Amino acid sequence: MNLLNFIVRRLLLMVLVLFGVLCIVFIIANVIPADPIGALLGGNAPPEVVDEYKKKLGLDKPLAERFVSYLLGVLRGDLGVSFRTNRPVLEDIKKFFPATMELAIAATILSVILGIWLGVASAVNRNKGIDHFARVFSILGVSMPVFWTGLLLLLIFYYKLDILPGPGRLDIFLTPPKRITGSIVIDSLLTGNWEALKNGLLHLIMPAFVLGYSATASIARITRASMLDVLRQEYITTARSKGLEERKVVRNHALRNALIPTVTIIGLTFGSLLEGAVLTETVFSWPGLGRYITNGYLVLDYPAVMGGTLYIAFIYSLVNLIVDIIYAFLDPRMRV
Amino acid sequence: MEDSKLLSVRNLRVIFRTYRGIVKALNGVNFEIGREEFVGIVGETGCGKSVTALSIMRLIQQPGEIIDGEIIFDGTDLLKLSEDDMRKVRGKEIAMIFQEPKVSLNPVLKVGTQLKEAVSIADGIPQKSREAEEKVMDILDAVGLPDPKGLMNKYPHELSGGMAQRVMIAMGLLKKPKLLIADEPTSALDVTIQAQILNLIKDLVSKFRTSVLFITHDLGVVAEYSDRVVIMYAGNVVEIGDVYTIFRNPVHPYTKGLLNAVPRIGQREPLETIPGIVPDLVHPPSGCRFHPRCSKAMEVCSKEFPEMVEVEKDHFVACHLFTRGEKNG
Repeated sequence: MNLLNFIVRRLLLMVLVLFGVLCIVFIIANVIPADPIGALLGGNAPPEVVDEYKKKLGLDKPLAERFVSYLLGVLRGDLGVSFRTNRPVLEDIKKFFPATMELAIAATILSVILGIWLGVASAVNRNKGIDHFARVFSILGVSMPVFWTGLLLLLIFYYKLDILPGPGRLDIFLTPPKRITGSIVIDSLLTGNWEALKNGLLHLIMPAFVLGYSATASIARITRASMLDVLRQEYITTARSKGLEERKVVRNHALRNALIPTVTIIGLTFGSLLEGAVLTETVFSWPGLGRYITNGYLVLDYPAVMGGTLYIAFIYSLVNLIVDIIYAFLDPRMRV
Repeated sequence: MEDSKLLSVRNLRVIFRTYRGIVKALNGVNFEIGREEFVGIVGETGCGKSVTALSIMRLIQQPGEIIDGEIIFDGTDLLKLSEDDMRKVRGKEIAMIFQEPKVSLNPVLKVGTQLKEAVSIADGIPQKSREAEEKVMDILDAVGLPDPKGLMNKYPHELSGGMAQRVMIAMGLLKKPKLLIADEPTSALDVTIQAQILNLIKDLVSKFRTSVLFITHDLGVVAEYSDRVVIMYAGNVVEIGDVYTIFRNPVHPYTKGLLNAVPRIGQREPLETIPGIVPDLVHPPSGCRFHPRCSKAMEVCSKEFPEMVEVEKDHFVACHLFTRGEKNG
């Protein structure tokens, strides 16, 4: 089938992309003038110990050899052992990634709903109040840095007003649900732990909003522009000339056409969500992959940094593949 | 006389507010369409033909605006109706087909869905009902499309231009409207397909007793199919008459120019043209809008707007050559 063909071709391309990412990440991690052993043992470690550690971590071998062994490891699903935690990096990713994924998905859902709604509302009410509001909201969204919005919201809603919980995924005194998928929301749903569900969701609101804000802004801008363009098309005049109500013209005829470019943007912003997660997770003490990578950086834990980055690149490519499939679903012309 | 007319457009003025200034697109348009009459509107690109059509449907979008006039359709002024009532008129009484059939159908919805939607609005039956489906199949058959069932499951990009226009005609005529507005329905089609589509429209409207407002710049098409012709220039109607009268005895200098610009088989001399270009409607010429291009322009032409006068029975013209004649006589 055509779609299958398309997916296989895209998967092969994805392998190529990931190889490129691997090369870049490996080279950058290994050529920066920093000494991971020094970071690990401190500046005063005796030379014998330093040599021993170098040998143990495989840093005494030439760069090319290390690259080949890393590549072979990745192909076997082995991302190496973290210098810092002494556990296999893949194990660490499995432990931390669900929290990031939960945050990114919550942010995506929020930004898709809010962004599309804002975009449609401002296109339909062009140059009226809601349109101006959306414009200002969007400009703020793309121009305010994530860490600043995060701190500001924490200050207002947690510290001053105390209506939303503070950092972390759950309140400290709450027993987390049994770990099944690693996502608090899904796990507490599965185990029927309603208290944890409610608390987990409340904890998600602020970080998800902060993370999703700039994505909301770009989705709203794109949706507005594409909706305005679609509303000028002749098939919209046809729909109106049938005697269809304006609401239905927008919903049944314009929206699906207008969403085609929006879907592309959603895939791209998902990448920036994963990337923004590094900062958001730091601000909100969210125990996710972003924070894992950040902490890895601080002690020059290369395997952790490389593995984490590679994993995020993998997820990003996968999401964009899914987006392209949705694209084909929305637009019948893409299916030929 | 009032009631015998299906549609009368009186003193219709439409403007578009653009950054360049106000475009005076329609400057007091007047014409009538009788019952079961086929009326052709002819004029150059940008003379306001399509704006007239969209105004009748009240589908002029921002930044356009109807600022004055009356559109009396079957006894009611459409410009005074509420949006809800107007929607009913669009759903049931007036249908419209467009120049580019392929972009007039929604690319992401199946042909059947789009047709069933129209049936459901016109007849008030549920869109997913068996009845709606049967009605759609009947009309697809009536417009000469083979395999209606298979066609309903197709998307617009899978149709040819001619097929898409047949679908549009089907969509327009399934509600058996009193008036069909066809905005250059054949301009984007091959010549052979053009004739088929025109004959189809002609057959169906006489079957359903529908009046037609046919917009075109093709004088040949008008000569062959219309009962009456309305000639427009730069937002004004300049001449109206019976198709034979207009072609045998055109009186407005613009109409004469148009007819002389039609090539004839066997003609050896270079084709005649009307000098100049269509005026900028942000700053239209004063008085008669045609006067800068008119070979017979007089002093009064740049000062006063010519009123419509009847030069012979049912033959109207807006030109000072004749208003003066009337005053003198």
